[in-house]
Amino acid sequence: MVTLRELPVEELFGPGHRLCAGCGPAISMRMLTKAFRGPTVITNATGCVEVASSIYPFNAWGVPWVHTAFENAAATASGIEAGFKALRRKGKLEKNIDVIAIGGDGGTFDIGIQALSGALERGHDFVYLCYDNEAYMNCLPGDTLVMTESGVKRIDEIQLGERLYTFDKDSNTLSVSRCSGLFDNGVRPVYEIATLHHFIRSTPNHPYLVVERHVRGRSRELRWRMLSELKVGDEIVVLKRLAQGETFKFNFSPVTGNHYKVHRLNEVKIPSRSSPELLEYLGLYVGDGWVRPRKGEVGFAVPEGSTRKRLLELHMRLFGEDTLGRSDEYYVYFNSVNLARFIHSLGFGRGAKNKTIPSWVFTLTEDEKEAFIEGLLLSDDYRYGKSYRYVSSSRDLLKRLRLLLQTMNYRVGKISWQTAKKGKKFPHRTLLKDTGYGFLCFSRKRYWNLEKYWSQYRYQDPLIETDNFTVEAVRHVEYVGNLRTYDLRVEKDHNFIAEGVVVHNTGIQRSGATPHGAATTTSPAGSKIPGKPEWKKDLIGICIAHGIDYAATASIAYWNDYITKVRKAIEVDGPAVVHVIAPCPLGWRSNPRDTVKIAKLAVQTRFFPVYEYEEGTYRLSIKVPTPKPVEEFLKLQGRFRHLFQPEFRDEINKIQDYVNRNYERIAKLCGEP
Amino acid sequence: MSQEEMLGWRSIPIGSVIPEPATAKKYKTGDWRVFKPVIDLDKCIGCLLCWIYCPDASIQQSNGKVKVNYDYCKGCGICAEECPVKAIAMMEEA
Amino acid sequence: MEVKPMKVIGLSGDQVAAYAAKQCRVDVVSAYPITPQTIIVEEYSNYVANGEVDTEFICVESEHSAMSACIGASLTGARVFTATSSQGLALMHEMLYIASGLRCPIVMCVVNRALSAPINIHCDHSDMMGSRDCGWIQIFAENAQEVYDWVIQAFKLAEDIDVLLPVAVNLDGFTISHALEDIRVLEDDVVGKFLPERRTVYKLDPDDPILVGPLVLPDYYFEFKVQQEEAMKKAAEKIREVAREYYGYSNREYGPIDSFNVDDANTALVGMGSTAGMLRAVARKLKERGRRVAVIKPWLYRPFPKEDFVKLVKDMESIIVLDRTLSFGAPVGPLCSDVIATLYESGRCDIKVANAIYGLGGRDLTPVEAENLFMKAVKMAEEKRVIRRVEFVGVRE
Repeated sequence: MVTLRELPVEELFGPGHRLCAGCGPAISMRMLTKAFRGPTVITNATGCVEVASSIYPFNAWGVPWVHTAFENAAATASGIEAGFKALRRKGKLEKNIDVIAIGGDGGTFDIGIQALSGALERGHDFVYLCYDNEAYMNCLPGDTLVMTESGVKRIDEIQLGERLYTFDKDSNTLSVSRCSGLFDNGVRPVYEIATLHHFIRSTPNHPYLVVERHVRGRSRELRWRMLSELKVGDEIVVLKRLAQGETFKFNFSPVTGNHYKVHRLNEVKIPSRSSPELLEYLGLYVGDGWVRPRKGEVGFAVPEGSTRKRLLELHMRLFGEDTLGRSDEYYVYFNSVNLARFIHSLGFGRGAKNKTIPSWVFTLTEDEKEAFIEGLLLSDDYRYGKSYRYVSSSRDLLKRLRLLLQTMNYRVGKISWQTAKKGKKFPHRTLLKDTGYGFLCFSRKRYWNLEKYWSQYRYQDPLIETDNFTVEAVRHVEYVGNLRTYDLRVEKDHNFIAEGVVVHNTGIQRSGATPHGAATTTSPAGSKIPGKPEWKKDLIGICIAHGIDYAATASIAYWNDYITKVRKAIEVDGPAVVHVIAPCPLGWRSNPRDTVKIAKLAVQTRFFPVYEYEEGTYRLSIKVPTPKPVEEFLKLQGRFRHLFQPEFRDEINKIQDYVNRNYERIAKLCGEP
Repeated sequence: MSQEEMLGWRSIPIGSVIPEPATAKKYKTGDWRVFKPVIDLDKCIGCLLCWIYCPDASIQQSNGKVKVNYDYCKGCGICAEECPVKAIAMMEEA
Repeated sequence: MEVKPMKVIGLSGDQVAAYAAKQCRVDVVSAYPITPQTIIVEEYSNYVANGEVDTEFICVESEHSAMSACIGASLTGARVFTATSSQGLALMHEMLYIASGLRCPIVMCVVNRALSAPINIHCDHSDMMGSRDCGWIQIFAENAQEVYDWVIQAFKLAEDIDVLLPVAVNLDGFTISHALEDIRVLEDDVVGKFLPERRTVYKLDPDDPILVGPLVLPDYYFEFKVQQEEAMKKAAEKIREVAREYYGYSNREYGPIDSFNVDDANTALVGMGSTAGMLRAVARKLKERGRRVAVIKPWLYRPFPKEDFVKLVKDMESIIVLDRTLSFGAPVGPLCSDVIATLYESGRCDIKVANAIYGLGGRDLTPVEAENLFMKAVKMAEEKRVIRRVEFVGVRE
């Protein structure tokens, strides 16, 4: 044991490395270097630490350091140790040089186990340090819009158990399934694929449903292919039209006369269900209106003309006459607290920049949706023959409008975004600052003139061109950037509709070190088995089975124990293995501040027992007589978020059970009660 | 490094070797942070826990207590979290 | 300098490789056994067990680890030797590039054996040809004597400060590796004089810490590869210097390329490895009958000795290049494509070049078939056209 002041001040793993803020492995490397006893050489397997500390020409290490490949840290270390031994024997080298091999959990547990096993068996004098951050991880960016039964929602707002629209592969029709898993996969590289009418962004390993045609188009098959496998021209299945919806029932309670802030209430009848007229009115509102609920004012920037006439007509029919306020050349005002609050509660937004289409609009009937579009077009549109163009300064509105139109079988174009400079004059005002605005072009789909083109129509594959789905060819695939990504798990059909495109549900890949319950692809959080069912490989057990003299586990939170163990491992004559748990805020989806706290909780909940094996004797280094419940360790990490849903509470009990049994097994080995 | 400063193949050391230790010090990661740690030296008891836990070696020992090297601090907040007397506060970077 | 009369001992190709490595005072050997290279490993471990050599011998668990350990040891400044064949070479494929990228002067004997599938343990060159782009210097020996001489020269060449690239000395599996020959060997001290201690440019030394194997992004990676290519080009010149010096000690002439009867011929057969010896015998017989045929035997395959080759084919009108490997889907075999590229670059498109693929999986090229190839070359020269660009020799339809 040693005190902090006795540790060397020299930083052999120095600042300037590119590891994340709050990176657990970075802490483990710094502490490792404090344990050196003399001249030391490090060999590092490919991994986070290697890549971030050796970007040419920036070297973060103060000792000689080698990197060769991913799976051979132990083999390279064997060579270095043998080289020094040979040179020493021939008198070409005087001092003793310690050799340390560093590998991450991937480079040790899986691909690196062969080299480690060989090196341990041959008995080279080196230390193998495995820093364990338990990660490997196909996903979509957070603002991807997913079709649910209750409308369209952002993927990061979906709840477990939500009913999503899916593509039933057996009958090629639209169906509904439950969401059974949520994954927050952190920041990942994201690509965008574009078809004629659809855009979707996802990571390269996300699967899409592709039509593969064989034998000159005579037979076809639907297969899942990852984005990275798609080429321009591949046909992917997209949503054409949603199921027929129904009128929406509002949940609004009007203010009565007893409200302290309201002096006078105008008579206004608030509809209880949606109707085409209401939707047309709301369409106009989205385009040109605003609302001030506290003032009780609903305003429209509609100059005198046919549009205003239609607005007034609709208003009268829907809400009655009493609420009409003043009007001038450009604006119309309606005064009604209840009306204002009602419209505000519908979720269309308030000002020009944050207008949007709430998700319930997507569940309406065709007529109501058409009326909404009509209303929109009455306000801010241009028409070019049979196609329309809609302008807005709310990007979100344009995105959702596009999606809505796609579900109504319209042809839509791309959203073009421009900036209007400060000072530009509009009919009713001048811009005070640079404003971004965009426009969207769309038109109704023309249908086949069946009589004229029957011979061509015959070759249309009716099984793909259904009422709800069609196929579109990929036009391009390009890299977008690194974004925060999420994914869903859907039962039964195992796919969902994001941005109008049918995508597979998946999760993250798992490694031999991924703990039980962590959501991964090959161990998805399904309704029966949420997360990886296997338990971590017992690395220390495997190493001890090779007959080595020293092996130990450690946690970065217990610096004294860890540094002492590394020093012991270096001093042992022969191979020694140290396995240190080092939380990764990115992979574990935790706050960077909490890295050391999580490493401590891992030990205090008995999740990661800290013990050492020295020449036949096991010793429990950190005894945990009264453990904290394992939930406290899990709840700080986003990768276990799904386990806290009511359906999967049982999994937490399973993990607690395993943790208890594992600790008891280790404790028994160590001769503890 | 700008295009002009980058060396050609005749001048760089062979075999992609970086012949000096600790050249990463030239890359100041301090501009990564959003929050920065501020140490209240009156409260600080010189326990050095923040020094050992800092992933970036950005807390240096000084006169029995500690000081932050803002050139490299990435603002992760571990020092503030682990300080036993809560002498470190994470302030928003100006 | 005076050349002492040499000791003659009987050794097979594998045994002589181990013997040469012993004389070169190798510091570390890390190898995994595979037929037909096993004897190298066995012989060498015998030397270690008997104390005849002071070497750290690592019995690794796979060829991939063998090359990894070799790289690790080479970086400490030790002299490293290893050996492998076919599947083993394929398994360590990624490490070959890393060894040459990190400029480790490792010498490896590749005992050429066919690659699976189907599994076959006999000789062909497909294993080395599968890794011909890895940045190693590649030399092909014709017989056990050449293996002995080349292994010693390989260390000198690899450790040259201007080169610093790993060298692969190829010998035919079973044909050379398991056949006993009379080898004229140098004395140990003579080898010691020819091959002094290894001088390193960079090594792992805690007194002077370096970083080896960084992450190099697009801004620098290309430059490092060009550096390697320059070292390859230097190797083509250095090999002549090394051979000249070796001649002084051994009285045997070596160089990038060997030839027979080029001055007097207008057609030539080009081949590497043990077959070249047989071709020379057949050519000698044909020459007595008045045919103007030559044999060109490149010792150095990578870097390809372009200038020397062009000089040798000065008077040729037709060439048949023999390839002991099939490069699937390629227009011609590897050696032939290098030859054609060299000729094209030097403007000698008038020479008619044909390719003969032979000997895959250890099938022998008989003297009768060789004579037929010579006659085909003669006919090509007379008729000034290419007869059957790619021919599979001795294959039953």
